[in-house]
Amino acid sequence: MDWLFDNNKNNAEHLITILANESTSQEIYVKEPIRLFIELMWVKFKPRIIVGVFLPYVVYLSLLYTLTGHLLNSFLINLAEMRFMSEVCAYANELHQAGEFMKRVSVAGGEADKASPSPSGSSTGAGAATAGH
Amino acid sequence: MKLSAEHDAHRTQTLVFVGIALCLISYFGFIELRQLRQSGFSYFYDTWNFIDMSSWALNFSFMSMFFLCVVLREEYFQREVILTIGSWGMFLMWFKVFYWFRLFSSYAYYVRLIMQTISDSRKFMILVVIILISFGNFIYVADATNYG
Repeated sequence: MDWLFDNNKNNAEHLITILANESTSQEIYVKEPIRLFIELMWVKFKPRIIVGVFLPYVVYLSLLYTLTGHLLNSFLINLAEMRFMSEVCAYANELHQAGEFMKRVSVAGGEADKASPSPSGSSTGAGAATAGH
Repeated sequence: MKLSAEHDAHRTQTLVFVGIALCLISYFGFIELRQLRQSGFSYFYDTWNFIDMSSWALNFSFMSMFFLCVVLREEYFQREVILTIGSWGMFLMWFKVFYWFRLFSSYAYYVRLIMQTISDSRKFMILVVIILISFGNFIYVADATNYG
């Protein structure tokens, strides 16, 4: 607005504030000087509003649209899948360890049966199978 | 391994998007705060300012919650909660796009026409809502007997 009122900077600002106020009477907008003033101002303001606010808003909207519509969901689902897979891996690891342990126990049992067979010749478990043969 | 690589790619992409969005949120937050400082309490007299502020607050909450989840790789907030907040924020943003079309003279007439129509039919709408609530309540209470 400085380009319009060089000597007194507040005049245009004050007038624009009055015109932008919703409570201002509608009659003022049909006055020829006011319409002319608005048209003159609008030529200067419109490109600045488009570049300064409207285009960033469009970018902002597009980003949020992508984030809410696609990225958030896929990221959180992926995160849940990762957690599930790590839990499954941990469980499988536990099972594997338990299996190894059972294997070791049965082998140890067989060796113990072999080392000390019962006097009657009957034995139990894996040791029985090995002792029988 | 494939899942982990996919997750890392997702994370990087998401972090870039969230970073740019946070910059823009700060920019629009700055604009709103400047308006609030200039207008004072009269800022709240305009409905569009309410929409702007609500949209900003919802989007900021959504982005912060999501950002925490992305950075810490932990689902601190339920997916449903984040999505609900995000959907409301998006709704208000699309609503504002409608208002933005006033910038262009060929659309401005229609935007003003629709807004004026809604404003004029506000009292009729209130009556319609009351009628709908009364019938809805009647059916809800009468139907409740079917379910004990």
